[in-house]
Amino acid sequence: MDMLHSQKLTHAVTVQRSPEDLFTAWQNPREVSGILHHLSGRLRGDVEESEAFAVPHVEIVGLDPPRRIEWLARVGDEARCRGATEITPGPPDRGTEVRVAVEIDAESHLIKRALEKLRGHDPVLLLREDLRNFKQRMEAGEFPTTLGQPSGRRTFIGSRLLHAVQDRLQRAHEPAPRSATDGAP
Amino acid sequence: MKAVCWHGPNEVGVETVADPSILNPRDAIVRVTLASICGSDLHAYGGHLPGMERGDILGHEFCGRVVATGARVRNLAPGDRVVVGPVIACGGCFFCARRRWSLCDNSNPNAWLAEQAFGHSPAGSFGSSHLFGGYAGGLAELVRVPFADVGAIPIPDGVSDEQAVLAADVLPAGMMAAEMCDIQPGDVVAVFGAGAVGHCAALAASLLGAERVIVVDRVPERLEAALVHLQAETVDFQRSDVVDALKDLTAGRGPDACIDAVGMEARGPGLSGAYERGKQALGIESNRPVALEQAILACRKGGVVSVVGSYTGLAEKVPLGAAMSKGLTLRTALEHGSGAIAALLAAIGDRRADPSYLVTHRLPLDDAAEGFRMFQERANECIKLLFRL
Repeated sequence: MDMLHSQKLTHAVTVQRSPEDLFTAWQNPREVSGILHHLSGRLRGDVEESEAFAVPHVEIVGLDPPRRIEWLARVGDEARCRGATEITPGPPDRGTEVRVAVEIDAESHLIKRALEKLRGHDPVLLLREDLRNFKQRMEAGEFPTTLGQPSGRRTFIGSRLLHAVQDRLQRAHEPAPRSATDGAP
Repeated sequence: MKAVCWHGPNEVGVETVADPSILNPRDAIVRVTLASICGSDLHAYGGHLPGMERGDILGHEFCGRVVATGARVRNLAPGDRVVVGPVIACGGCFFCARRRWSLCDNSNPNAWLAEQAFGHSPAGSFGSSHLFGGYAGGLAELVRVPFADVGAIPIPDGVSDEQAVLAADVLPAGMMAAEMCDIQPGDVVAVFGAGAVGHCAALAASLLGAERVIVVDRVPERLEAALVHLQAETVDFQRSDVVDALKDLTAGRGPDACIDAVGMEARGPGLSGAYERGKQALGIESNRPVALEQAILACRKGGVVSVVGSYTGLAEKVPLGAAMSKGLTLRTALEHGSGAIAALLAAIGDRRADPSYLVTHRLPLDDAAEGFRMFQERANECIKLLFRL
């Protein structure tokens, strides 16, 4: 990871599961690999599409039970991101707060970075989607989707940009190394 | 299968599209037997909802029989008769646990998009804008119902399909509108809009103990129906100033609670109304909040304004200064469906509530274009229109 071009991201979600359940999920490298699927596999604009969906290998590099996990995600030999997850009980009856801080090797060129965002590769959006999907899996047991549903579209012209982002975010689940029912409440 | 698809403002067509399939373990496929058009479908039909796409399948009030279930749906089986409301809810999040299903955290696949518009994402819903997920709707022969174990409600014996479809949306919306008024003995409740939701809100207000209910609209047959079936008083806003009329009917106090069951396409009187329609047509404003404005001005000091008519985007001319100066409580939500539907089906079965009189037209699905036109124009004394499949 080129620290000169690193970018720090943070995001938090509240999940209606116990801190113990969530800590269990995050301390399993395979689980973390699935949780961070959007972010760690799709950070660089120069990756091939097939590689963009590659499953990252995650190492747990630090554990501080029951609330902090540090991890490093690689695709091949390349470190794609590293970060830490803090799990803390929310206010009474408000679930458990999950805060993730990530350091990524980001595109340094402003125009390339803007183009990445237009292609749906905005790291901020990807991290949010990863944590949203984590919450959905823990609370609902599956990810909502409309991919594959019928419609009566007559032309492909219209909201193509919307579709590009929507398809990227939803299709990322297809090769994910996890069952849709894993972690179901 | 056949489905009613949106092809642009004021244009729908019955198209042959692919059958839906199970996409997630908690899905079910329902073969629709009866579906209806809601006032909020007209917002989509008219092109007033941002995020609609040509080809989207419309409709969010339907009932039918289950034909297939996903691996994790254990409370339904093929052949079960079910009704489905507009809201798609996971049943496991903070909001679902508090029976506020339209706020579900986990059912909108386009939550990222809704967050840009609203700050937070509401639940997904059928047949609506892609801000709400873009789920294919219920005006179709077959519908995929996500989280069917929560959202497909079994219909009890003794409740007809027509009654069940009314319990899908308009009746729970009306009940929620009245519940948000926190009705106390002696209260006078004014309901703006005598469409199906307005009628159900007036019915619910009476059931919850309102002393008097006043219904405001301009369509004679809708006001007549409120008078005949609900024993409500009526105000025709084309014949009198609504605020003055409501103050007069309450000896100057104003109604204790006002329900806006109209929403973004309210018709204002005279030049003011034409100005609002012009701005909406030009895309300068998303809403025509005339009914909301009148509700705020008419409501008594310290009263409640309950908003269930649909709004989107931004609205001008909402008199927040009046609301604040009068100490009003504003409450609003999208209808919550699910658990409310089950309770209302029981009430219909027990004959405690029955809005069946609202159904004025029954058409085959092939006549959807004509049905939308008639419903939009309030033609042929149309209050509630059902499609048979």
